Amino acid sequence: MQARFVIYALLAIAAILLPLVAPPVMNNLILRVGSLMILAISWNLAANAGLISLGHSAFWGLGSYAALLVANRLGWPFFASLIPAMLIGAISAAAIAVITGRLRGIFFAIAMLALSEGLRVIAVMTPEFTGGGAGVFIDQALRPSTQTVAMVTAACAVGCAIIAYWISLTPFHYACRAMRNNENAAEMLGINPLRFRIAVLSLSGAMASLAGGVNIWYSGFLDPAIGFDLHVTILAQIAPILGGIHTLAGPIIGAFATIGLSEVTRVMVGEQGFSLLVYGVILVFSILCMPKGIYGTWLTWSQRKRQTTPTAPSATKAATP
Amino acid sequence: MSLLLQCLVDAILLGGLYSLMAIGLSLGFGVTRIINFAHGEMIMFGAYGAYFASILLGVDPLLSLPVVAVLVAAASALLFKGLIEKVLDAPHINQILLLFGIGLVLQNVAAILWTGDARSVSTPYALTAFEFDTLLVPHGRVIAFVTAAILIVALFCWLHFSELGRATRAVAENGQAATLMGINVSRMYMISFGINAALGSATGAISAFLLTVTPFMGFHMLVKAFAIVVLGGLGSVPGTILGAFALAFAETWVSYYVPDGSGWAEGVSFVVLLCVLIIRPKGILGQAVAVH
Amino acid sequence: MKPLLSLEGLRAGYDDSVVLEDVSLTVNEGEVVALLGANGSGKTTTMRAVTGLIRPFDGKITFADQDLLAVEPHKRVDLGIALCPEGRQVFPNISVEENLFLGSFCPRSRPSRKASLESVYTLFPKLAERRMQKAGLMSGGEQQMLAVGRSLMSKPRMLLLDEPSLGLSPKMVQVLFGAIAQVAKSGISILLVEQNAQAAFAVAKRGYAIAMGRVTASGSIAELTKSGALQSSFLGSHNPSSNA
Repeated sequence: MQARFVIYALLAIAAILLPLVAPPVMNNLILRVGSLMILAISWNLAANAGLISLGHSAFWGLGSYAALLVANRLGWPFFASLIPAMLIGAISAAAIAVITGRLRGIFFAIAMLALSEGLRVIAVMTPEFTGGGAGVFIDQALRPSTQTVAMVTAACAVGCAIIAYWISLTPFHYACRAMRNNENAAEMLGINPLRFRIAVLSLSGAMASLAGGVNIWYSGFLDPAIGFDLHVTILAQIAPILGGIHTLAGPIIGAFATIGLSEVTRVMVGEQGFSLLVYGVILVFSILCMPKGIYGTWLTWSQRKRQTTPTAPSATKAATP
Repeated sequence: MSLLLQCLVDAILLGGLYSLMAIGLSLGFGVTRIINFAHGEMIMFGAYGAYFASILLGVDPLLSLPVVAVLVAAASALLFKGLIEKVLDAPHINQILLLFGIGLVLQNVAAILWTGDARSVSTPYALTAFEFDTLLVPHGRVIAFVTAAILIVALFCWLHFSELGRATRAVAENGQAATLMGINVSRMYMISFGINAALGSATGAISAFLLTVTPFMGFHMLVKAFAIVVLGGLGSVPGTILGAFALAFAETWVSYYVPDGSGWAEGVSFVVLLCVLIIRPKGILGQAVAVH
Repeated sequence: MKPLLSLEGLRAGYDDSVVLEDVSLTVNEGEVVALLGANGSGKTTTMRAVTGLIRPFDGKITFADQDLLAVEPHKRVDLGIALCPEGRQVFPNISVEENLFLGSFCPRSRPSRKASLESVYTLFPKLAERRMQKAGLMSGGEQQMLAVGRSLMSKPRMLLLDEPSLGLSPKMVQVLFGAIAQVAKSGISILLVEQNAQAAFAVAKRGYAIAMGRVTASGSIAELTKSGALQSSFLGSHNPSSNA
């Protein structure tokens, strides 16, 4: 058990330091995998509590705009700008949690879908504030090197993974699972569903906004179509589903797998539409044929193998990750 | 005064189209308890069907509408049988994500096949209008309204006076009891999914001469349709129609009376949705909404 | 004489829990048979297995010399089996008359719909009065009449009645069982699940006592009452936790 932790810690440190040694082209990849990891962990966290978000781009976009605005208007630097980004994500997520109230499942999904569309319209219609449909550049003087952004992204991804792990150790985790399965029963166990929903969603929203906030410093340009892009929403749900929903490792594995697949399609076909098409196919395929995702399927498969081969009793020790 | 009258007329004409757009979504939920997140793509395919019939064969969208609707219905029924039926008893999350994924695939298949270019169909009635004093009533919109009304009345009659329509309502109320009546529930699911897709594609065929046709038109219409069905109460046909007109009035009013209104009008559906969720989550006439 | 319906060694339940351990029974043409037992003994599960709402784990169900398990649930109605389910299950937002129309949905009964409707209205005049009302707005007793009438609309050879007296006033029970007796007289076989043994005995000739998923006694009503088998099947249930 100890050895595993050491390995994980070393891997995490290596990931954060990777931009220092890797060739600059790698920064883009590190940034994309890292951001997607954050998004996926964030999405999975909400899904763990039975909240299926079809509008994670709303949080992403809010984070991007918050970081951009405090930088351009108030001259806040990179690191400082991430704080308002997270705050606005947390606050808007809490508001959505309160508004959707007891309505979960499809209503929450619909509300999130509409939220990201609504925010996009607002961003287009308030040009004096957001730059409108024409978009706006972030203050070039404040921009850190892409190396720094990539390192921070990796660090944030590691941080989110640690938070998700820490949650899985607390009773909070059981409360979420109880809510996912049966909210009424959870209530009878003394769990206040609304408080939990607010807590879970705030955390989830803050993470997604953080990813958005970091990304604007990398891309340097933002318009409503980029900020509230359906693409982000889709990525946020594909990664955890492909990797393994309701698991710790799932979103992380999923982030690598999703970016890997999108790179492969980009190289092979090279068109934007195809990557979205591939995402759609992955989504349909995963739900129908592999609803537990890569990690969940692997777990089931290895457990079955362990059961059928009693000659390897040492393997059972590693059963619980 | 004349502005107000114009606003009212426009809203009513738009409300007809919106009713047709949302009714399939609402009815589909009532019967199968699944929200069709790919409903927008049914609309989009209907629009492309009408577009190509007009460009390649020179057929008016109104004439190609029945053929397009039947084709989309048949394809959707197959889609239901092949994929969607497998998640009927699965958790909500699987249903939502599967339908969302199907929508994504259809949208991007269209984008790859037909590019993202905006297209439109020109008809003899697209640019003409009735003029009463200052009031302008475009022929195209009147034709769209009448077509939508005919289809909705036909749907209503089918639901109430035909054997299968009655069975559809029975399945929506109690699937198990319907089985005891000798109704093949899974076949009724498939039929209703097909009919709802047909209604969506009919909306698309009409939209082809009113709006621009793009692979992504369905997604924007889907958000509006959600606002309508949540406003009217999921699964309720009269509620859906009421919701459609309410949204049409709100949008038209905003685009006439608010500065930069036509841009803001796109956001009305979102505001409506949030308001309904806050004030009355069951919708105006809703009863079929299950909270779980 | 060959029985119309026969169950042999039926084992059934839900997911992983077995409710019926071993149930065998027969109903002859034109016979009224009562299935008696305490709550959770497996009566409703038996009914659901016959109509196909659940698939048994093991055993055989034969109806009119046909293997019923090979027939899809919705097609069993066409063979002549109708269930009036526990808790009535009428379609609440659909009018009384349309509920009855739905009862004759299957192709075999559709041609004679008018005549069936007349005979149901004669059996339950109250339904004729309420024909345009939404079924959900009627009283429990009226809904039960509707549920029985609806199952008769399919012109069944075999009627399965699951707890028709549940939650009804004594007067309503009397009215209902009067109608059931009339149905029995017309030659339709009836398998009747009841907790109200007194009401059941008024129409049934023969009965089975069932406890914990097994048939514990069978015979004519007189035999059953004399042997005390009924008392033990109602009172001898050792597992109050099961609730099927």
